[in-house]
Amino acid sequence: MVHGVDAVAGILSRCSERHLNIVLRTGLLFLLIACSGAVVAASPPVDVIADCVLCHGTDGRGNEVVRAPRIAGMEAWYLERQLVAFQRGWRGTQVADDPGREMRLVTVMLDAEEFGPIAAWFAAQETPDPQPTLTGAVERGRQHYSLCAQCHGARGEGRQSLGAPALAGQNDWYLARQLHLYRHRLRGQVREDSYGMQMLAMIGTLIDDQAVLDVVAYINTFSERPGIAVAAPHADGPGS
Amino acid sequence: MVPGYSRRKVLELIGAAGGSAASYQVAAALGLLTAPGPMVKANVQRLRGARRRVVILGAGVAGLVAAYELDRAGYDCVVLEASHRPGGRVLTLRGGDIVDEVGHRQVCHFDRDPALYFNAGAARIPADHVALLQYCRELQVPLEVFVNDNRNALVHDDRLFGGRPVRAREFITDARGFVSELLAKSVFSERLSQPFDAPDAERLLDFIRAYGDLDSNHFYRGSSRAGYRQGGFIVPGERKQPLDFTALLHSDFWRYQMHWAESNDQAATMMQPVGGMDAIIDAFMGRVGRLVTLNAIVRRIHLEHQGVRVAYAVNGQEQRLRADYCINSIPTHLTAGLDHNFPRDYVAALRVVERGKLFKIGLQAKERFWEAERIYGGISWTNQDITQIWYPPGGFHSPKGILLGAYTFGDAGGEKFANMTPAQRIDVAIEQGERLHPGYRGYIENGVSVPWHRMNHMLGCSARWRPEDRRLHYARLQQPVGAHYMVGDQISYHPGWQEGAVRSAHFALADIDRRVQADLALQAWN
Ligand SMILES: Cc1cc2nc3c(=O)[nH]c(=O)nc-3n(C[C@H](O)[C@H](O)[C@H](O)COP(=O)(O)OP(=O)(O)OC[C@H]3O[C@@H](n4cnc5c(N)ncnc54)[C@H](O)[C@@H]3O)c2cc1C
Ligand code: HEC
Ligand code: HEC
Repeated sequence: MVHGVDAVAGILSRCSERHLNIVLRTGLLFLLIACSGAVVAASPPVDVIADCVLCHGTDGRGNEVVRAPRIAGMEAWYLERQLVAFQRGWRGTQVADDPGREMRLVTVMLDAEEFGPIAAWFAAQETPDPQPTLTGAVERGRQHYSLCAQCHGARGEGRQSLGAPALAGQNDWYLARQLHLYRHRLRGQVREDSYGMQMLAMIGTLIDDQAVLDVVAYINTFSERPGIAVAAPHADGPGS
Repeated sequence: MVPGYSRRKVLELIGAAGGSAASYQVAAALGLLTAPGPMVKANVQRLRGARRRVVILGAGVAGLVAAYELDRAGYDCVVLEASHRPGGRVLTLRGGDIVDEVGHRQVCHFDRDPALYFNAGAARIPADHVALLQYCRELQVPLEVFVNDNRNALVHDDRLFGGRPVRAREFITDARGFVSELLAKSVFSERLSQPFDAPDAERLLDFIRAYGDLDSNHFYRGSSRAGYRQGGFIVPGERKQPLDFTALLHSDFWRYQMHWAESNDQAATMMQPVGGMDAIIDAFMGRVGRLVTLNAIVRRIHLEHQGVRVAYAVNGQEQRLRADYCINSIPTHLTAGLDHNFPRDYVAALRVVERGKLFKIGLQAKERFWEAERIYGGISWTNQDITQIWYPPGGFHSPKGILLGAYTFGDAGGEKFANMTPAQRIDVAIEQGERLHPGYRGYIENGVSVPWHRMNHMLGCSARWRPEDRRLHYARLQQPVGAHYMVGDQISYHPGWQEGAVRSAHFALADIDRRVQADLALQAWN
């Protein structure tokens, strides 16, 4: 499980900023585990992972058609907290939130002790950055984003100290859907869920659907940087 | 072509000179013959010594048909199936079976008796689904009649007669009678009789009278078609009072349920395999089971310049294989989430197909109380969430029976049930069934529920194409990309029917056969 230096470098050259520090961190984690001689007990049950990727796609790359976002390369601390959030019913209990309810069902059959290894596993997966699916006015989005940047980072890289996850590299349709959930009081409604409530307090600045599209379009620009190999599908596929 | 002559003229001349066989060949060459009728046989040509490897993803009807035909023709086949069982959406549940619903794995608690089974997926086969029926004949799957339409079954609607159910025959007979009476009156008026001369108008009136069972004055005064109130055997039958037509209008039964068995796919004679729909799967597995790997979850599909590479997980361990062709029956919405290198337009097409949310409940009854109510097979309809109750079409007068206690088509209904716990679903089904059959609860021993959009490796049935998306994307998915073929009922004009799955497999097989034969011919030429 230990990444060789070359392997780590190889991964770094291929992944976006969103995943960079995560890969580093998990890489270090594995090194630490290996050095301290600790058992690599951190591997989650394969049938649980199989359940997750059924919806979230191979390695957790995200699958729009079943509305399950990318969780590959996501910060382990955020991922784990969301599993807790679903299990405790902070997310995924509202009648108008079918995707959330589908996700919640999965967490209630799991033991919270399994969340850590599951989160670590997905945090260590690499998948290509998703293709943009939405369009909006990027310039207006940039203006909206100035507030968001305080917590989510200037380029959507996230800030663990504030509990705010990375937004860059996430599926744009999913980001839009979450902002929609906050706007319609379907997420961040439970007092215990302090981070959800912090985010809720910020949503007022996005006054309509257009503002949501604009800010998401701006977030999309974070992963469109040169030097990042996005495994884009072939334009016309291999000939036969 | 000979100048100045029509094609037909040319044909006549050739026919005169060389006989009809000659003109047939020429006509075929000129493309003058209408295409042969719908393809109901696969006809993959034998390989005769050459080797070709095909990997088939999914062991549902489409995958098994493909494996069966290719294996017969000498291809090397591997079938990878994610589930612990073959069959996909052909799922017959019996006591002890696992229902692999994500988030709610259930066990079916029916008595362990082969007669007590529930077709939780496919359940009925119309006579027009000839390709599937051809396999039933060939593989000797015994069939029996499936009762889809039963005039003694019930119509229940909260808005109708205070929720008192009526027999379908009453509703249908009276509704027809009233409509016929109105129509007969208007035939006498100028406008409608205009296009008819007097004798034709007379015939039209006779037609209407027969259609609605009107009296000689063209009034509807009830009909024995609705069943007798009493008598009819030893003493004269006494007709029922016709129902109130305005009340009938206020129910929604006439919107589609009343005409259910008129549609091509739902009309008598319908059939089912004896003992459960999975008899079809068993028959295929008997022939090609050795080629099927269960618990093999496909994760990656990579198109290569020639052939396809596939990676799949068994117990979390990834394995790889390469094949000349890949036939993929994995639902489009799951294929979209795999690691693949499909071209953009293909991905776009995969993304537009929406997943349906069909939902079924099976209930074990300790007594066939419905037969005492003169209901043998068929469907009762209700405007409650359960939508319908099906009575077993066979095993009449045996002690116990499996009812279908709910079957919803719409997304809202499917979601509603899916969001309950399995126990709650059964409870709701019983409570609503009680409105049709007082005492229902006392007869039901246990039940099992299957929300298809929550089932493992499936997450939906059936595929839904909006007309616009069909126009833009269907052909793209039907055609191969490299050596990769999408198949299944999802890639047909019959999603939600096994026949669609069979035909789409045949479509892919024909194309592979054509390519392989061209390939072999070229090799021989060189
Ligand atoms: C409620 C309901 C009622 C129906 N009623 C009828 C009816 O009355 N008559 C009728 O003819 N048809 C009916 N159908 C439709 C019929 O069941 C389907 O048309 C048919 O079974 C589809 O076969 P298929 O091979 O195309 O797909 P499926 O049966 O869905 O097969 C796909 C297979 O792929 C497997 N798979 C998925 N993901 C992976 C992966 N990653 N790796 C490997 N394998 C994978 C699945 O486990 C599955 O076995 C009904 C269906 C439902 C759900
Ligand atoms: C039945 C489908 C399904 C399965 C199985 C499933 N998920 Fe989800 N998951 C979803 C959907 C849909 C969402 C999006 C919910 C929303 O939009 O609020 C989601 C959301 C999430 C999120 C929140 C992501 C974020 O950015 O906040 C995490 C984390 C997650 N899932 C992890 C998992 C893990 C880990 C597993 C396996 C234990 C799993 N999921 C299994 C469907 C599923
Ligand atoms: C005060 C800090 C703060 C600000 C400012 C803020 N957020 Fe957040 N945001 C959070 C936190 C914390 C979370 C995580 C909530 C949780 O754990 O459920 C979050 C979550 C989100 C999510 C859900 C991510 C996911 O994967 O599910 C989105 C989308 C999001 N924020 C977008 C925005 C946008 C757009 C803005 C600017 C309009 C913004 N945020 C401003 C703190 C903030």
